[in-house]
Amino acid sequence: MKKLFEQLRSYIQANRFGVWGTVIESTQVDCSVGINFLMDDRGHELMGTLPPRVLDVLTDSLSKVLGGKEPQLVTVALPEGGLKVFLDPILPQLRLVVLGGGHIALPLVKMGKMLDFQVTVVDDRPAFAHGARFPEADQVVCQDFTTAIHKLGFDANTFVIIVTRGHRHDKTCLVETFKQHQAAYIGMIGSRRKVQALMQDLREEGFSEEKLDCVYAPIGLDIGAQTPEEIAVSIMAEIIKVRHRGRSEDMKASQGDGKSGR
Amino acid sequence: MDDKVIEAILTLTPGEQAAMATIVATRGSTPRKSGAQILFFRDGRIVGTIGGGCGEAEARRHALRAMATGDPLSVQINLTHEVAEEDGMVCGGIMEIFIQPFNSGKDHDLANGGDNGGHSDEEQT
Repeated sequence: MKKLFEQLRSYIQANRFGVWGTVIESTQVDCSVGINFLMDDRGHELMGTLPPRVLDVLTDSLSKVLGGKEPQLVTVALPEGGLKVFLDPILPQLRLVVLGGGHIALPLVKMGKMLDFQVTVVDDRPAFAHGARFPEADQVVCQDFTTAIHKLGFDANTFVIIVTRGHRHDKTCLVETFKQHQAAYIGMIGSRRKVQALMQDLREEGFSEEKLDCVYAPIGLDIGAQTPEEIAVSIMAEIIKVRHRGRSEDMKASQGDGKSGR
Repeated sequence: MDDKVIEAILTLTPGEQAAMATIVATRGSTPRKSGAQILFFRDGRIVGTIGGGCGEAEARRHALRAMATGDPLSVQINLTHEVAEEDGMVCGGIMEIFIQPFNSGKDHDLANGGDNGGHSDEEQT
């Protein structure tokens, strides 16, 4: 039992993808209620806790959980009786990369940790990129943005916030981010006008409309944020929305059986 | 899945009793969805949440029962009935939760490091 939980923890810590299963109802003598099991990302059981015939009937449900990344309650019928199993995906921890260590980065890092992200801050100025400025960050990188992004490497688990000290650096970051695997979220700060001008530049440089379209810029939800802390809330709210495929209208407006029209 | 709950289970001291509740299914409007977890300690401490309020309080009562008997159990928590409304909690949904006790003497003795997975006959009555 403890070994299995330790294995689960090492899976979580190693950011590996898998499935944690729990037998919830059972009439099987060799597969009783409360048994846990751990599967890797190919659906292979790791500790041999489940009888093979039970594993066999779970194959389809497992690939569904691995594919959809949503938990599932599965009822299976076996000749000797039924079985109810809860399959919970073990998802890699999401990464938040804050490009730019200025005012907004301070609350962003705090909120990112609050929301369970693994947080990295990047700035090329030593005064803005050191551990004492960001004690909560998992990683503080002091390097030019191009090299830093290249070394970090983005993927579908990465949320990227571009908040450097100026347009030129923002553009460098965006161009470098485009070279990476598609991130889960790319947001860039700036006024509507600045964003338009920068996007026009990139269009002329040959970046596709599709690429430019997936950038959240101007960044954040429109909640009238003013202070760095408020802007950080607006950015993190947008990230939560993207993470859970939510919507951005008021809860009040979205009530009433879709009367709001969306 | 809640990493903090898993970590808390692994740091239980020898003999320290606790029970983990996991939401395995929901219907209608519930504060948290499938996969949310909470660890109830015998002394009242908690790690994680399955939505708070009297739904969570009801889960706690079942968790204490599971710690006493040493048997895991499935319960359905109904947030639609009158008791919930009296407390002003009218989420309106139903959640199915599964509760697993740890260190209850009878089974799952984490502190001893016993690995009884797969040989479950002795785990249950």
